[in-house]
Amino acid sequence: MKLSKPLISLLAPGILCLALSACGESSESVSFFAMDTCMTVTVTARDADEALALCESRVNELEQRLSVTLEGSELARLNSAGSGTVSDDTARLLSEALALCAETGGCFDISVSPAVAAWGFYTDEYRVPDESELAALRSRIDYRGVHIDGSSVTLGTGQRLDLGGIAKGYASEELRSLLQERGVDSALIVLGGSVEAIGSKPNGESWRIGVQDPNSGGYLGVYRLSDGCMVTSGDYQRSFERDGIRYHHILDPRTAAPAKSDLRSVTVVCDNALRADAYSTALFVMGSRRALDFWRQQGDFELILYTADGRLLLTEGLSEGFSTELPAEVISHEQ
Amino acid sequence: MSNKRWALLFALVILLCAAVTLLLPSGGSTVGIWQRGELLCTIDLAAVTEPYTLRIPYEGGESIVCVEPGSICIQSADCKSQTCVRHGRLRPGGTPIVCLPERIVIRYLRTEGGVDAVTG
Repeated sequence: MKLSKPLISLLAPGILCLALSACGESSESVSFFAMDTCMTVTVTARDADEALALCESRVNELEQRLSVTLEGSELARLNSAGSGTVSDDTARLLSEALALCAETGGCFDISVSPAVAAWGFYTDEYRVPDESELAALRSRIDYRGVHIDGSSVTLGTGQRLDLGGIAKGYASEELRSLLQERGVDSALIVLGGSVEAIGSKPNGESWRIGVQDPNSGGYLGVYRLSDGCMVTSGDYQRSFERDGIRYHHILDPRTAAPAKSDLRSVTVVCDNALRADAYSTALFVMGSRRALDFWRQQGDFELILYTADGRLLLTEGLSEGFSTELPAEVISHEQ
Repeated sequence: MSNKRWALLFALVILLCAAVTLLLPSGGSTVGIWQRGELLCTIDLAAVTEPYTLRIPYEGGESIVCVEPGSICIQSADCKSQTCVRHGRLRPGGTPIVCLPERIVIRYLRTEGGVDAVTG
């Protein structure tokens, strides 16, 4: 059959478009609720839908193991029994979490669960425990009472664990591994306030990640992120008021009460979401001076701190990638 | 027709395809409202001329969504946390409005020129 030139002219562009779309990758997103937050994963890949379904399924599997509030979860059963055998996921996360508790001098502590419950943050039925109750709670908080040997875990007397400060970071790392094993080189994993980027956007530009302003719905600034993660902890994320006093959800393990920090928010930028998750909580509890000392000692992550008196502090590694309209102080490694 | 004219016709068809793609609605001002994973509706905020409210009922109460020209927020909700109400108006590229107890999400279908995600 001989095709006429007009027919070729009309059909060729369509065939060309079809061919390009058939062999090209597509960007797809999925949003779902898990771990008490809204999650969105965006993937650019040939089989993006399949990859996203696996991501959602993996997060749901982790929630069944790591949730403190989900009845029948592995962690809930461990808390109830005081000891038990756990899955590889839970054992691995517990080991890493305990190491981070030690590294942060207990400012991040996974045994803070009794205090979280007492303040009503699990049920939204808020209350203010009195000093004697706080003293009793403090005696139950100490990560050093938790012992793990392979898959066997034993808690200290009266102890209960809460992995909420680190489970999303762990899930983010798991999704990153899952996607990279499938050859995905462009994805954005947003698990609540935890953001992890695989590569850059499909057009080669960095992902633009806004850092929420605690005082408004706007941003403190925008960071250009490629192959890395950002996690923020702030006193504005969850709180309640009693008798004119606002109580936020980031508890100081040493007092069993909301941390009296000079910070409103801490954003950690690094290459591991699990570490960023724990650090953001711990550094909020530490306050700005100790947080910056910790940063100087560790040296392999960056910080965006917003203080209660409205100062924006950036560690020096972010001075290039972070854009803001606010006056910002750049903190150097040298004191 | 000469080869030049065939080439011109070919180029015109390509241009037509590109124009159709560019002129298709971008979705940049369109938000979606989901409840328990189900898309309840989409609203083009640029096309809203008069404020109105939407009711999202659930067991034990309802959430009232306030839709105004160019903006959307949850005006009230029958839940203890009230996080979705305190979120205020949805910002392009900002964090979605989320009601955790009732699994309600309001977010832009697509953001342009803003941010890709928000940490906070």
